[in-house]
Amino acid sequence: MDCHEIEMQLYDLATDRLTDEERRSVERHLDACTVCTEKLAIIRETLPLLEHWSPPELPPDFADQVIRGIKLRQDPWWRKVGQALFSPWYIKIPLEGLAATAVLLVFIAYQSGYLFITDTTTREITVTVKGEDAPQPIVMESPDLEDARLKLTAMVKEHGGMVVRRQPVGSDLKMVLKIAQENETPFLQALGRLGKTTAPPEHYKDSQGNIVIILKKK
Amino acid sequence: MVSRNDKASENTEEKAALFEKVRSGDLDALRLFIKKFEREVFELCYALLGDPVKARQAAQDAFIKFYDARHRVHHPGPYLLRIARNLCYDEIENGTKTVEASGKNDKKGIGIIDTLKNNHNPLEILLEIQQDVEEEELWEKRKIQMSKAMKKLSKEYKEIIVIIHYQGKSYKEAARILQIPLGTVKSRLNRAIVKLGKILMEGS
Repeated sequence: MDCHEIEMQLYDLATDRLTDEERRSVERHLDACTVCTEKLAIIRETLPLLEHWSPPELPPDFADQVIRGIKLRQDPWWRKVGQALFSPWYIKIPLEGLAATAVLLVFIAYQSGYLFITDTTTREITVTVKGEDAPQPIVMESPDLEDARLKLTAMVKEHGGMVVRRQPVGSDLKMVLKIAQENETPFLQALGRLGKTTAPPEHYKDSQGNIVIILKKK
Repeated sequence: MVSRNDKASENTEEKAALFEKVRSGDLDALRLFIKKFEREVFELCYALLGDPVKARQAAQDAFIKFYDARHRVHHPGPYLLRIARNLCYDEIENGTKTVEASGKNDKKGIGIIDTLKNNHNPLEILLEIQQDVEEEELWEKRKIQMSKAMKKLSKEYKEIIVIIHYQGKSYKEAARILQIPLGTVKSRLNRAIVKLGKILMEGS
């Protein structure tokens, strides 16, 4: 081995890091080389002196100082808001689009009057006003609705008809009746016997041809 | 008995797990990470700059820069030391003059008071104080000599001594940090210590 190769191992020799074989090989060279021997002597004298060098202590809050420095450098508020709204864009933008569409649909539905209608009477009136074929029912007034209903039912049966449906509408009662066409005129004339009756000339039938009567409490 | 290799491996795994948390932006993990590496980073900066204030600033900047680059780091320890070293090189190249650290402390005074409180024979007390003072003086003298000698070394020699001798890094790790071949690491270390020895001899 030449001096350059030996020089690379002097520190390891002085700090006892060489294998026995490596150490013997270096020592063989040193026996015949005064330059390398002198370098080894300097290294051996210098190593104990190295313990006299040490940096001063760091302040105990050094890590906190670094963290503060990092926080100060972090993103401004508008970038944070942007990231919260749009990052990652491939998830948040479709979700936000769906949410916006849903809000828009709810708004349109509300404006069209399909939402928040809990009163069935109101709904009935709305339909009546808007629908072209909607019935303008015959309205009958009576102090006793149950009595009027029973009498009306009996009269329908007398004219060979039937009560298709009865439905409370607020405090009133809606009766949908099926009467054969040939019995319709005598039935309408007989209605006058039951009480005060308003019969519009047309549109008192629904789309199925049933007569619609509203019994109102007088 | 746990071997040195097992301990080193455990330590490496622990550091890797900690770094993963740092990578995810966990600032508590970063605090622990800094605690683990602050001494090494500061030691290198102090050796290169010779001024504790500038060394502290460089170490702080190194950690901040490291945190910014955490997503593209594969070997956190060597990368961090490389950043610190490069920042110190920049500082040196900017022509900043280094300031000698005083290294003084008040240990001596406290020692004397404690001795006076705990001993009863005045002659013994005086002899002990005399010995302590001589040892302290010799230690301080050598410390100043070493500090001066270290400052006279080139930055390449300073860093190789710190990384291998003081921090106990392997030649391979040093090669990774300094980005030089393994053979260069070995020859540079030996030359650095011989040079330091010669400076110390000239000084005394």
